[in-house]
Amino acid sequence: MNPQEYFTIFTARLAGPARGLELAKSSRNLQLAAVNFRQLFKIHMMCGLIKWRLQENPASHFEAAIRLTAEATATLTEWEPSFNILEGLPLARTSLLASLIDATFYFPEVDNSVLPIDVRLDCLLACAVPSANVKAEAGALIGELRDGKRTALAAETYENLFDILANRGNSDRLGELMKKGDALYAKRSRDAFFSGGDQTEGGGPDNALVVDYRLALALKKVGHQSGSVHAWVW
Amino acid sequence: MGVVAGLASAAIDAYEGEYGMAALSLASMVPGLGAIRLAERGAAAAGGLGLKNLGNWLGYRAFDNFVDSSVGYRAFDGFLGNSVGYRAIDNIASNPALGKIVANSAERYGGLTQRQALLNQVSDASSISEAKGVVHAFREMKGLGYQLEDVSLKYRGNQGLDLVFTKNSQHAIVEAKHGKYLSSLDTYKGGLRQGSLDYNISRLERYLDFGDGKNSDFANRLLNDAYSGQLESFATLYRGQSTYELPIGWPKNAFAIKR
Repeated sequence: MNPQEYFTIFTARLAGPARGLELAKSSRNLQLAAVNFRQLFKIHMMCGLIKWRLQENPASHFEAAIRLTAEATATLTEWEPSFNILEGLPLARTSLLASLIDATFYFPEVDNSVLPIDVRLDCLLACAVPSANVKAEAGALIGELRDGKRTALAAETYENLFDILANRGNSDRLGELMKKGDALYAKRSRDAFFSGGDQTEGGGPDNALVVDYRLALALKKVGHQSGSVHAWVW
Repeated sequence: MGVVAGLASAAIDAYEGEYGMAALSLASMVPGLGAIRLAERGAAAAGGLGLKNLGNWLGYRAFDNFVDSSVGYRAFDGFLGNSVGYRAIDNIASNPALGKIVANSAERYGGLTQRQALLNQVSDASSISEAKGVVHAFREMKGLGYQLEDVSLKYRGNQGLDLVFTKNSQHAIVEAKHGKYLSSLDTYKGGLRQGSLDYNISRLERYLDFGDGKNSDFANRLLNDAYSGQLESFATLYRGQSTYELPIGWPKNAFAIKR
């Protein structure tokens, strides 16, 4: 199948969790609603990433994904104010998408140390302002990730992203780091940590279907233009 | 390299060569580096065949005993850990000479089809540890009243969901682990954890996208069950001798339930 055919499949796949969400809403089933919100977010994001890979503007799909997270936050906290949205909803990935398309998304100001290290790095990346010392903030987390089980490629990937943010204005260096980012992304096809994650992460067979949206965000933040498939050009 | 490790290593190398039986005997005398590991290396040396060549009467009995009783654990370990055991399970079902024995003992599995379903899953295991996890899962779930579905939802080789069981039309996905604790369940990019509903959904979707397509209708049915909260999830732990139900919301918003 080609990416366009996968796009059709993913679009059709929205119906299942949409039905599940209606069922959860009718019975006020908090956990079931959270699962279906997450699934809908993932599918909208996946549709956007496939469109991106096809060099078409993915913004409308990302907007839909961001709206879903906002609706999920409002709905679930209305039903149960103590619901753990930090771990129960994809807030970090929503923040990355919002940052990419210049949309507004409010990330709650809470201690996020309960989150997996790679997700905490996503939080940092989403709100990071490029500067010479931006990497220092992420350094400890990247070190922890490097020591983890099967997370060496992820650590190297995040290190490259924060290197990009630390090198704004240095176009030669940014060109090298972008190429390195391309190469690191390609390695995800054989990496267990990425392959085991959601399809949005480009591991395993999904590598050729989607793009590295984190790399795009880092390059966008430093204003680096490139012809890479991972570049944000809209 | 220490003496013990050196002996074991030599034994493994020899086993993969032409001195099979002698090397196995040597290795079985090496404390702490036993025959299970040797058999696993042997399986790998057989060109990724895993347990394909398993099939003889001794192995068959050990397999049945393992399924049947707690005493069987040791028997099955021993069986997998010796040279005869390594050539055991797969041919059991296809060997006509064993037909009578199979028929006589099928009840303990819940019937011949259940026994065959288990054999198929064991034959597809990529390591002896995995095979032990599968048989343990079968026994645990059978004890809870579930029947094993004779389907494979794997993609890209051995990736995908371990086992699917059914009880009164309710389906359950089982992560069959060789380990001792729930921490055996891996976490992937973004915090996606084996055994969670999100994980099971992602594996069903990947099977539909990249699998052989033989069980797509069944996978779609399981996906619909998942979206409506009807797909159960369990983790069985061979070394922990335990089984956990993983409710919707686990691991972030709900606790595992020991069964």
